[in-house]
Amino acid sequence: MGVPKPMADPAFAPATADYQAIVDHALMTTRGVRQRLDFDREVDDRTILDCIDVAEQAPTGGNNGSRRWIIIRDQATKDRMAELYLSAGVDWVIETAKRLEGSGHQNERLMTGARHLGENISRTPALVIPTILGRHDGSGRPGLFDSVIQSAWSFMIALRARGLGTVWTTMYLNQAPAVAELLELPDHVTQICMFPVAYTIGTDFKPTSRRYRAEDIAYFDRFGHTRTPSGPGVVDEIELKAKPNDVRAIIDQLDSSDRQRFDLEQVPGGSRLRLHARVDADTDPATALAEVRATLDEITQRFAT
Amino acid sequence: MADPRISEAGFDLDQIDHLLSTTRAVRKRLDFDRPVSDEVIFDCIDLAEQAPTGGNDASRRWLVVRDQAIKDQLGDLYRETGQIFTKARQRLIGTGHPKEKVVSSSAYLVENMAKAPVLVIAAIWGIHDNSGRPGLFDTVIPSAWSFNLALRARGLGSAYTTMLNGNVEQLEEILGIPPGVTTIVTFPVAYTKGTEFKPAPRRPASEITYFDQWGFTRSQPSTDGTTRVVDGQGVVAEIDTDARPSEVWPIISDIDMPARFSSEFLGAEWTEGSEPGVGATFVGRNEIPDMFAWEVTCHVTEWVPEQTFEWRVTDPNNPGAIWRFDLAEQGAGSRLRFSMIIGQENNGTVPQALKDPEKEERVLNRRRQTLKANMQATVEGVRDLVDGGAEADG
Repeated sequence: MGVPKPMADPAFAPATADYQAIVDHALMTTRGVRQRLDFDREVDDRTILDCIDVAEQAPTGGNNGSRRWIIIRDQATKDRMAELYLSAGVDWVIETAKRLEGSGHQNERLMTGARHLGENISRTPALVIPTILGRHDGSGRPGLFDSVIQSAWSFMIALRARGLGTVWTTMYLNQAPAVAELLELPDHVTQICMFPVAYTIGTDFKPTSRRYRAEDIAYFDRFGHTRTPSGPGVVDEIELKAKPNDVRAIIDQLDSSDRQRFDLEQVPGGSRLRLHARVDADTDPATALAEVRATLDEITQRFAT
Repeated sequence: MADPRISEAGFDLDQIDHLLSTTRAVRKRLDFDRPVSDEVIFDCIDLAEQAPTGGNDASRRWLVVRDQAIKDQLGDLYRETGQIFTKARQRLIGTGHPKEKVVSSSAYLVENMAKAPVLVIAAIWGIHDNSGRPGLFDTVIPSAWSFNLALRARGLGSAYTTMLNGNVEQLEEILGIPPGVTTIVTFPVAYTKGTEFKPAPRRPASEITYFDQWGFTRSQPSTDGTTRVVDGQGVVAEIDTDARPSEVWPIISDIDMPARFSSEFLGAEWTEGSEPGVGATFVGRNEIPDMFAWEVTCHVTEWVPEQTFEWRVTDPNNPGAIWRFDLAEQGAGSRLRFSMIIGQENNGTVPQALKDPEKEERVLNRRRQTLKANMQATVEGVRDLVDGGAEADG
């Protein structure tokens, strides 16, 4: 059982610097691991079950006690899962990775990792699928998923702490009915993701670079109202079907103000444009936000015509 | 390694497991009088942003509510939706009902939400596709859970509340949330009164983890992942019914009942002079048609009305198999769990399985396929009996 022992050492408690540093390190360095999975090193059941015991401590919503975990160990079943994984779209990923090889494209590394996993997934010591008894209600809100996704993330952190790693894969869900048939899942069971579980090659992982800092994406009291080190501000954002370079060209034509800052990011199918404006003590944030929106509307209009 | 608590990844497992096991929903122990700085909230969001994202990279947005007037509005909204808890608390108070404590705690939060120094709402750009799969949600829920863990490490606490999602339109209006954004969870954030929290009671992993096939369990973990007699291979079938445990119990405690649904089990009788209960014995008759028939003596090893009925086949100390019904409340009805573990000897399967190590796995799995089909038919039969489905369907 993964229930921890009572703590004898007071330096061990929450709200102490040591504890906080270790937790922060775990949360920052539990990454999706693909290329550094050690397919040749055996993993025993005990280790996986310990991680599940720890994961089961995550909160559940109404669906208490309804999580079920499937561990695939049998080689023939892993082989079949690998086939399904490829036909769920990973074969396309592998082709893309081959095309991007050596191109220096921004997605090259990610694709190379995905290809490596796709080509070797049947060699993973264990494939783990968290599931939950129940069906989503189609309400547009997490509902059922609130009772299982936290647990799946705890599982990843518990693996990381033990020198193992995995990656949260969902593309295989394109073959969810075939997987359900293979594993004999009853109809009322919902699959969440598939974790290929292995020891990692080396245990040093770095935090990822996130596009935004907390102060860019944390809004105070009203959506879009920020508090940055340079003072309060407002931000609004739009998604455009145009490429970032084309959006950049439009922005450059606008009258610029040193109070404003554009953030442009490529997203699937186009760009995301954020406009941030600082707010003075004598400016009403609502007015400032309306101005920001007007500017973004103008840009949207340019692309509409 | 010198210190056995330190894993090869350099982590103190007691610390990480402690974190993941003691980050509980905190309501009554939130310290509403101690201020919380923006800085600590930013730090926790920065950590939360390190959680994995699916395709919707960089789409999470966090709403930090500090303004008392807005907290009051959200508090009112929460109280409106949460009346179910304040009413349930009235009903359960002093009854000792298993849910009395959690309902009382939830009702407390319903009445005091607006007193939290900060309310933090995790949201994401995007609308769920209603595909029945997590989709959008798996890009944001891990992050929300990291936020909760990061709070815990700093001596703060929260509860993962979703009730405000029942009033999305008003929530969006109060906070000026534009269309296209989905709110996920509202965290009332405060320092906790004391930092010691205990793990929750949960079913052990070995009971809810299936190997290679749905319903295939192992009572002992294997070291190499193979299926061997020695690890206690088992089968589980479970089903939810609309009936209360008190209505299901008479059916599952009838030892003859599975004969109606199983292809092998013909029936059973209590041994003369045996009263149902621990220590009682009964004889079960089985047959694989056109092959062979056999009788076994079964020893009742657990008997808790409306909860558990367990029996061991042949020899209670060295059973050929352990069989078990577990019954628990689930929502307004119950969940029935029918499980068995193949013993190390005193049965027909093990000698066959051990004859050839190459075939051990196949023999065990084939036997379990048959058992699973019969057990599944049995729990479905029980459900139809208590829910009246069999009669209703003609």
